[in-house]
Amino acid sequence: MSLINYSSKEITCKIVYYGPGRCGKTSNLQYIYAKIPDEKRSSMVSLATEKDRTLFFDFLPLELGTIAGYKTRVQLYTVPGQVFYNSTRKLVLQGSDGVVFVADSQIDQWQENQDSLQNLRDNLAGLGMDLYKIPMVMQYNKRDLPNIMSVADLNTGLNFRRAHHFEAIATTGVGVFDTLKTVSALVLQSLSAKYKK
Amino acid sequence: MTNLQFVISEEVTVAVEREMALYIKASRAKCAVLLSKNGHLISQSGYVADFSLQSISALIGGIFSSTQALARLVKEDKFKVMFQEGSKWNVYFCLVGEHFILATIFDKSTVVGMIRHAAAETEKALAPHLEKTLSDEGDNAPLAEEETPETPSIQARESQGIELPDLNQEVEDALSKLFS
Repeated sequence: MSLINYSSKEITCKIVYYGPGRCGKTSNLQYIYAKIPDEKRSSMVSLATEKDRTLFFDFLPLELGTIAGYKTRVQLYTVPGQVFYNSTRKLVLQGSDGVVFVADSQIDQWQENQDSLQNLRDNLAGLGMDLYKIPMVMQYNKRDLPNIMSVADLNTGLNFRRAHHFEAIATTGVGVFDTLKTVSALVLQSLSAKYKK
Repeated sequence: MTNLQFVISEEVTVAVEREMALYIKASRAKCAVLLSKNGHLISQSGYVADFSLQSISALIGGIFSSTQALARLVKEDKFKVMFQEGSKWNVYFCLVGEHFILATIFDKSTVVGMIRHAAAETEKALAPHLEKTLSDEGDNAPLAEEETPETPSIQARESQGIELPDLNQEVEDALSKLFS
């Protein structure tokens, strides 16, 4: 649910990081947050359990400056990855303009990735949205760990709509900004096509 | 449910800002924020130092969403009003129409009854203006450029390798600037 203010020439859009539990969604936002210079930094909100698992969502607002003549604000959210928080995932997914699906590259997380992707498709459908239409980027995280799947296999199994994909090590920042840049551009291109004025 | 988007014209901006200013005056609150139910800040009036209104809006959107889920569990259509009381600051929020929330931050210089009364009046005044911002271009609605075979959808263009208007460079420049 983007917000476009023609009067003040401002656009606000929402990007949701989705994926199975412990795949690195929060790590993506934490890395981005850590890299924002102090003078430009607002607050990152994390609603986590006592064991630092995401309970509701993480939220990080970014002021991108002027793009295509509009002051552009991107709001990054994560969903809780744990299976039993599905109602919360639906709430956070509401009104999203773009999605980053963060997959865990480890072989033993294959089923969790597939289940989470199916869950994303179901939840989008429940909100009247279509996984094939929403701007989306795939991020294959944890590439530094042993026993990981090849990118080709991950693409075959998960990336059926052939979205842009990036290898990542979110804790050290590898692939984090490529992912952010691409999904932001896709969202803004999508809005531009809808609302060209 | 469609994925509504909000497009705000200058006329609506002026009207909303006027009503918000009147609300602050009438309620004697320190700060009021108008936001979409999804947590996008639309307008603010008054000022409280050190409060991140963007984050506050995102959290209120989340609180309201979970509250509506709670309402359904107890067989209510919706809960329209919430009030949080702190030692110094209080927050009152109420639904405006179906898609917006008016959140008010106030201290001991006013009382919740006055806030509630003024908010109800402001809700009535804001609702017709805000209706004009709704765009029914949900994600399942056709995009402006994807109606005909001559103008395939963005996704179709992606898969066909047709060039999109390129914002990559602008986004990259903006991110470089933000993180430098």
